[in-house]
Amino acid sequence: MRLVRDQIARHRRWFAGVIVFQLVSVVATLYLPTINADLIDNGLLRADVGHIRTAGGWMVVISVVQLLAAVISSYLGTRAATGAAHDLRSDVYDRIATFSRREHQDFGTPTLITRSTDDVQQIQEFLFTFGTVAVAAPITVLGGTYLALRTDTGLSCLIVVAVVVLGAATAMILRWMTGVSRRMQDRLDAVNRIVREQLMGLPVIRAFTRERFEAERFGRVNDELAAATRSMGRLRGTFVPVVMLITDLSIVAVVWFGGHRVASGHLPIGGLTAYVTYLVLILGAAMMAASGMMMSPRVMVAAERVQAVLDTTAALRPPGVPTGSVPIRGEVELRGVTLRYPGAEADVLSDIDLRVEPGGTVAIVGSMGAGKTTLLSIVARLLDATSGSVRLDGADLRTLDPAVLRGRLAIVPQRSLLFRGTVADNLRLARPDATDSELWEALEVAQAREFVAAMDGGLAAAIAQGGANVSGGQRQRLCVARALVAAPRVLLLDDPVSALDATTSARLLAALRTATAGTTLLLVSQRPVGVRGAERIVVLHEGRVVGDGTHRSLMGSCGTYRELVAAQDAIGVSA
Amino acid sequence: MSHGEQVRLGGAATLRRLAGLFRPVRMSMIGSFALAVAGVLAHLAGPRIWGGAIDAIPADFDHAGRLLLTAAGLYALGTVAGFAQQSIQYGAIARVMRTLRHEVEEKLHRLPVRYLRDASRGELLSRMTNDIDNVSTALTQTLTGLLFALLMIVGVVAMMLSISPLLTLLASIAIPLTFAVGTVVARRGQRLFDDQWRSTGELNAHLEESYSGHEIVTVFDRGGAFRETFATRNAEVRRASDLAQFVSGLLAPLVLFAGNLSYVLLCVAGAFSVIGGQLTLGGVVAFVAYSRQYSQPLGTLASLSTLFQSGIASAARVFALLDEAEEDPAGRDRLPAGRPRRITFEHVSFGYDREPVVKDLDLVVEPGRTAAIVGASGAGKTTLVSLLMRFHDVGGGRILVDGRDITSVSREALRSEIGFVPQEPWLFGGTIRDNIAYGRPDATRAQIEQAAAASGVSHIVDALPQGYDTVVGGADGRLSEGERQLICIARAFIADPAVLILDEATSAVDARTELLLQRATSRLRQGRTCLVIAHRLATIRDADVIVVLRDGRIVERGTHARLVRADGEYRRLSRYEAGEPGDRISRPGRPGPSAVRHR
Repeated sequence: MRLVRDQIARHRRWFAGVIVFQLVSVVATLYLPTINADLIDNGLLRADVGHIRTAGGWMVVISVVQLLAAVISSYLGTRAATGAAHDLRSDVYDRIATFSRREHQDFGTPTLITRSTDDVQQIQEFLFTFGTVAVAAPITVLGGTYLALRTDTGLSCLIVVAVVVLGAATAMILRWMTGVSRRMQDRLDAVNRIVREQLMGLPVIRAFTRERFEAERFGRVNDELAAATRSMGRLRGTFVPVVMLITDLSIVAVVWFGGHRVASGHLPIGGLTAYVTYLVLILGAAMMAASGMMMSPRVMVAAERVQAVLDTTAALRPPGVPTGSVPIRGEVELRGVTLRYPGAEADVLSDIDLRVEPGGTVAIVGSMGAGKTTLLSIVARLLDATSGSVRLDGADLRTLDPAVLRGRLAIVPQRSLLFRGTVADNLRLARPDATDSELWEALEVAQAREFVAAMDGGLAAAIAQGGANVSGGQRQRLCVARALVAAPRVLLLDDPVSALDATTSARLLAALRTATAGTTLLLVSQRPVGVRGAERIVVLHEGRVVGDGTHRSLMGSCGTYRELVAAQDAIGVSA
Repeated sequence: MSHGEQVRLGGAATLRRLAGLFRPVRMSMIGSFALAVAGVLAHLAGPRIWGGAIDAIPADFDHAGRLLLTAAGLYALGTVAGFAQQSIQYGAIARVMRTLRHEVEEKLHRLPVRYLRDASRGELLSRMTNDIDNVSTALTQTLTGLLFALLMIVGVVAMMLSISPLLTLLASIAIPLTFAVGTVVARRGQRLFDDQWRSTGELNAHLEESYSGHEIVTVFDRGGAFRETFATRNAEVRRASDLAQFVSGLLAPLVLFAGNLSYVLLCVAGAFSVIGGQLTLGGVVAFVAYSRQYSQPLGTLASLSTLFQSGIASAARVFALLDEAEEDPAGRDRLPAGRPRRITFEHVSFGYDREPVVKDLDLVVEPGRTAAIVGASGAGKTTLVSLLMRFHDVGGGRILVDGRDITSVSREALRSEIGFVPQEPWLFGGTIRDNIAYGRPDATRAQIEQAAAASGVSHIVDALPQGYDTVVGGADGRLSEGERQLICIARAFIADPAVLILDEATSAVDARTELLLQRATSRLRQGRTCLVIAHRLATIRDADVIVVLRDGRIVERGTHARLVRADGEYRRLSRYEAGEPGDRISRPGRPGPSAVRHR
């Protein structure tokens, strides 16, 4: 709830305005029955028509004042709540922008999105309700009680009793509801999870004719959800009748005891009617506060989730004052690079020494989990090494201005990712001032010219979110082209042809090598055969460099490399 | 989009259909309605009775006491009725929603695979989850509220009429006023809320891109540009929700104002009536209490209608899904006994749209033999095997299994003959044991372990602390892609099919895991008629026949040895893959340090 408090503090002027106008509105609302009592006691009972008219006129004036105050306070409350939500979203976005891969993985993209929008929306709605209801309710209760006390002190213990009973009943129902609502949310998640699974696995389900099995699996959680919904409904169904019963019985009690007070002359009859109205107002306010509180378990969870993002400090930070020189040659050097995730038992990379001269090419091979992708990420400074350093032209990456580093280095990631926009937008992501002919050159090298030219609009052809409207192979080629548009000094390629057929990948790699002469290349490959002809191959095994040389020298000296090649050769002849 | 806009039922039709869902629970609904009437009546009788008590005070306390006791008793009864009513109604709604969810889930299994290919998966998922949730929320929150509000209004008006028709007329001025204001605000609010959700959707899409593409954005240093787009969208959301919230926030003060006005009117007019002797003071107080009770339900009615409308919109989308055309159920026969099977494609043509994907294709796979299909992506490989499984039906020609046209055979009978290993390894959220047994639900423990051993899954299982009981599937990333593929193979193993369809995974697997996979699949192929979609030629050298597909046609067929000799498309493909001289990653003619390093 610290988060909510901070936001209220940040927008305190708006909230102060809300409180002032709510106060006016509540006082006006409470004042109406007081005038009415006066109307009855001094006008009606004395048959004073003039007094009735004056009192009535005042009541109209006060009603208008109340309306204006309520509208203004609602406006202020809205501004405050949406302003707070806007700022929260900004804070969350900026915080997430500092995250490195580790934080992204820890949270996961879907929940980061939910936290930035849905959770903040929850907080916004809560703040709005808080600004209006939560302020009005206590004022109404206090003011109403004060007026009731002024009318008749003796009767007021009734109000205290009613409020206490109502509060206790609400608290109890609320407590039950929190548990049931959590259970319901879990079941709902389970139902949605199974539906998602079924959608993804539809061909398999059909092929194995497991429709009935799936229906049963779904049926079980569906039944559980229905049961939880029923319990929830029962609790919700208890709430309103119970609150109404308490209100109604209180009125009956007021009439009974108040009647005696009237008989004994302690209370004018007009006072009694005002008293009934006060009671209705007070209990109504208490009920509003209670239904506002029904929101609070969900908001609490939402606030905690947003807070968790804001409390996360990225492990990776740019230097306070960049000191390194501006690299231009493209020499990459890893000195004793070791990476271990906190809490992990083994290093992902351990003590890696590797020097790539400017314009040099190194192919990195190794089996799954050997640390190939991690190594590229460290060179791109998407991750920082636990110990050791990565140097670009002799300067430690951690001392470089990120903008300088980014301008000199490009990457083709393992997972091909494009953005919503046009083909050109996606390519210019790498370099906004690239000309059309430069884009076509890059596409040519990436073996993408033909299909882009065939697309409706060519460079201006639309790309859907994530690149969903082009095939996996096309996506990968566009990613290669994007990296080429950057014209980097250092180019990192993470298995850049994995989704391409043999012909296309061979053409791409051949074109790449002519086009990037002078660029330092680090090329990761899952299969040694693809890079057999590379001038230098580095073999990674369990996070260590176990071989460094040409195909021929490694076949002689490196056991792991021989195994990798043998495994590859064995494929297809083992049957 | 196309499906979203397609068959949208009108509001009235949707409402009728939604009401139809309640037919099975109509007794509950009638009962709950009766209870609601009873509850409201009891609640409404209250003020009338204690109003009488006020008039009796101070003259006749005994009478007043009796009246008040009656009122209290009625209130208690009303509460019990209200509680019973809500319980029954929520129960009924829960049952209706369970049925609707069930129907939608069943529908999923009857939709043609083609539909799932066209419709965006996310859109479909959103209909099956978010929309149904929304219908459920709307129903639970509005149904009770609306019923209660309507009854209250009717009842209150009746009670007020019974006290004083004249005052009722006066109070009624506020009814259309409140309702009109409420409706205008609600309708305007609805449009503004649509705006708000639309701008939130835009923001969401942008966040999705910036978060999932975070590394690309970082590497290319485009954080600033993305930040700007975010700021614009964020401000847009704020603007939209400012308006929506403010306008819908007007409702409560306006309703309260209308209530206050009629209160003033009634107080003044009531005072004159009392002076004139037409009414008692108790009558006026009770009347005022009634009038307070009907302005509130009017407000409720207006605000709930927004929620109800959004529920109706969701229901229309769900119904549209339920109305989608289903798979053609044609084919009743069973296949004659026998294995392995012979598979024949005769002049098969097929296209998803106008563009044909498979063109006049002939292919015979002899019993127990393996046919491998190779070709560039988009050549029609996956389409070909989905035709055999009848995920789609052929557009021309026919497919025969042991001489019988597969369209004459029921899908279930046909598919029970076929084992399928998909390109993307799919496991459901359950244990490894359950996932293997998916291929044969009545499998014994021993059979499962046997299949695991034959497919190499046992190696993985041994390394896991919970062994076969390890929960896999879903978004759980505990197993690697290769390991998941192995489990898919075990699943096909245990099904022991006569025909095997193997769609090789394209995703990157290291050479060692690939060897494991290769061993498992060749064991799985034994004694079955197989169709293998190969993405790497090395894995299918030993196939009995290799067909090379290009643009939906077979351009070459034969054994590996023959095709290599033939020096055609296959030869070219395999030369690239082997990385023969001339295709290597070295950059000749480059100046500088690298040349030095070559030595």
